Amino acid sequence: MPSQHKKNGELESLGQRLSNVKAKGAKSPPDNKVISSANMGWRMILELVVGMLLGILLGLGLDYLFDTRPVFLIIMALFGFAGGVRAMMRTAKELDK
Amino acid sequence: MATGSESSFDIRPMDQFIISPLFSEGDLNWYTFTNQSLWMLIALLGIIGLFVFGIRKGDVVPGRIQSIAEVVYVFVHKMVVDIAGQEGLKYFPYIFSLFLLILFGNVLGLLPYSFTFTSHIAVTGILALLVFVSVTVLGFIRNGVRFLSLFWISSAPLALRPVLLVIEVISYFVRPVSHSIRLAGNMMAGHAVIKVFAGFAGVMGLGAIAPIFAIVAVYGLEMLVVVIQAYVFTILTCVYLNDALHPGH
Repeated sequence: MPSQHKKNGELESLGQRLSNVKAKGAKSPPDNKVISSANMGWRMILELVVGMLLGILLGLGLDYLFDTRPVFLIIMALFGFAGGVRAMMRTAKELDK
Repeated sequence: MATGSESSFDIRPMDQFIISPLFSEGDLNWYTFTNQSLWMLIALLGIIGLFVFGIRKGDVVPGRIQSIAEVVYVFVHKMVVDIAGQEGLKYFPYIFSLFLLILFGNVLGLLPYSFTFTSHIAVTGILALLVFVSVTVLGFIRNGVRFLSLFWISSAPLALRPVLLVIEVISYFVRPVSHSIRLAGNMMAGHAVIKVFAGFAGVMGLGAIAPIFAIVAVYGLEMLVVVIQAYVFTILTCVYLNDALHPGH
């Protein structure tokens, strides 16, 4: 059957083209990785800053409660910074996996 | 404005984020129908359109709309399994709804004259808070008091543990804040930049061609950013979910 034969040939060429496209698609992941590492960078920066801000706000709040203006502000800002670094390190560990 | 009488150079890039009532005058109440409610409703209709009417026929060989729906579904499904494991699939509906709401909100916000509801901390903050609270509650339900060992580092010397406790608690609370600021900040920044360039184009006459090209470039970048931010919000939800399901890793 000639038509059947022709169809098989078409199918084969389609398979060939498909695998070509797939081979091309396999090269795309590095591009994806660039985006995700940039995202990771932003995430870490944000965590660092937010940690410090949270600490400062906590310190201000505690000072307001106990009327000890700079004491808790200083202590909690340092704790906040440490917390931010901790959150950042956790993100970095995630990157390692 | 600084320009005084020559008020043509009057850029207000943040005006686009103002929430205003659509069908009434005066104050905003919780029941007031605002431009924000309108665009949330449109996003909802878009999601329903895509996933209810788009795949109603359920063809084996999907058509255009159906393949979009299937690709999105498989994408999020794979993300949940990759990060949170098979156990995480129980919470897939919630994560998928989050992804769709944010994706539609971001993409619809790119339309001219539209309103980007994901540019408001009030919206992203609630979304992040819901994730934070539900993940924390889930952690307690799944692991009981053992979940608290996340904050009480037993490998450290006893004298240091209270100090580490404070640090750990702060670093735990960093999550919802950074989670919400990232999405709202990205959306707001991109839209404000476009508005600023558009303001330049308005006063430059023939030279406006430069800012117009800049708008096209920024808009292209924004197309990328809106999808990536929806993706990032979802993937972080999966990460937090995974931490609650398997603490101590």
